Amino acid sequence: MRTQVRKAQVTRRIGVLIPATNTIVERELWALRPDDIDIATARIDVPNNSIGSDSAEQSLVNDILSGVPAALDTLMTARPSCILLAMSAASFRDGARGLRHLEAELSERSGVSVVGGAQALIEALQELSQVRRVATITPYRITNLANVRGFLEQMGYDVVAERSLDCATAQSIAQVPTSQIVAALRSLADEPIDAILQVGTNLAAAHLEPHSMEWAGVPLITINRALLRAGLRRV
Amino acid sequence: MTAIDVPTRLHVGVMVPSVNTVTEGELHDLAPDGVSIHLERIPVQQVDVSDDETTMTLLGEVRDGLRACVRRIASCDPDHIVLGMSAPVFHGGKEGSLAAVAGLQAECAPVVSAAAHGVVAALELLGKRRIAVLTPYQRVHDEQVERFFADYGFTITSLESTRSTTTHAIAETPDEEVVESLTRLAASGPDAIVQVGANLGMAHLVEEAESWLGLPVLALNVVGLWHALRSSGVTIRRDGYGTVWRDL
Repeated sequence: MRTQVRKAQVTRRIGVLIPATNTIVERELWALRPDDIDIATARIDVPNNSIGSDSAEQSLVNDILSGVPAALDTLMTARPSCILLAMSAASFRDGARGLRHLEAELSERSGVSVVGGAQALIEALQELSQVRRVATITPYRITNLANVRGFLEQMGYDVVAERSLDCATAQSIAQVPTSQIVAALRSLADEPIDAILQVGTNLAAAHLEPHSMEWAGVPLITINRALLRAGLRRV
Repeated sequence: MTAIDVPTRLHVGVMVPSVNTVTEGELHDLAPDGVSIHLERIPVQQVDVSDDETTMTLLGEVRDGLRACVRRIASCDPDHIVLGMSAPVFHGGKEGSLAAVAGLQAECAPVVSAAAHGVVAALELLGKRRIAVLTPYQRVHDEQVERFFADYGFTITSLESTRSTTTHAIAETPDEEVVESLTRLAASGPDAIVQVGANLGMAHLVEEAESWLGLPVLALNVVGLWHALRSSGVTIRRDGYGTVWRDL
């Protein structure tokens, strides 16, 4: 059995904000965290769950962003020492500068360090040496894909391939089977890439990250592992 | 701890007051493979609970936030929703507790249950009628705890509270203090010991305490998740968390 959380030993707590519909971030972060790190989660109200079209996907992103402040205030009562915005599309939407602005604004509101999903991916990319050309695996449509691509290009990376998994609702992203994600990874094996980024925190991919050399021949960065590492650097 | 490469067979939503920092970790540790825990917080600001009045202010904040919270947690499509916190359920005895659950059930599709009713169900399965109770509460809540268990036909041999003065102090109750309380409660001659107050976590003490005391020890968070699984037809047993998870 895993070592249990003993209250007296827990000194550092990472706060995590997720869209209310998300069912993957919690289990991945709890399973991968070091034993002396506590996690406190709060959910952002998502009134509409459809992502069946590009416009529906954008209204979900808008709902998530407008729900962040209220969820952050709730989460701060659990006294975390840093905050992860465990959402991808919303963190990519306004580019690198937009995300820095959002993180600064929320950091001022909460008094602790705040990091968005896109920033966590960039930090993970920067830990790898000599990466320039990347591929992405996402559950996204046109606008979100363009935002992810634009953000990465702003940060100096070339997006040379994209694999998009079609999902009808925010909840159904979590149902994408491992076999489908592995098939997407394998399909990237012949692309001229240095790394693969998995984007979309409700896509259960963290368990594949250690095996990506077998499937795709290049490193895979999964967003929830990247977020956890970003949190551990700040907590 | 549920494995991350195993498909989920049961999603359990859990509601706690936002200041609770114990239930989330205990339930993720406890969840067997294939069981996913999804937590949501009821926004509260009242941290001082040093007397009856402040305790009731906190209860008011919890009640005000319950309905919005159950709708948020329901939006991740859980199979079952557990009211992790116990105080709002204990108020008004058996009848009040059932009404509190029914009120939230009307707001969402997943089955809603209270951890406190899980404790009653486990005690009934164990055939234990005389209980001693550990709480973190002020008198105003302790009276309701006594009434709740009395309504269900249990005899309370002793009730002891840590009388914690802040919500954070509840979460930081030293293990030594819990152990001393359990020892005194066991001396009152109960058939089982019950711990309530979700933020007074003692999941890591249950197994050892049972072996020292020779009695079942029913901790609210531990029994609340067991009850959610059994209510959903999942019969996975686990060692390391006492009689309830091992035998029932």
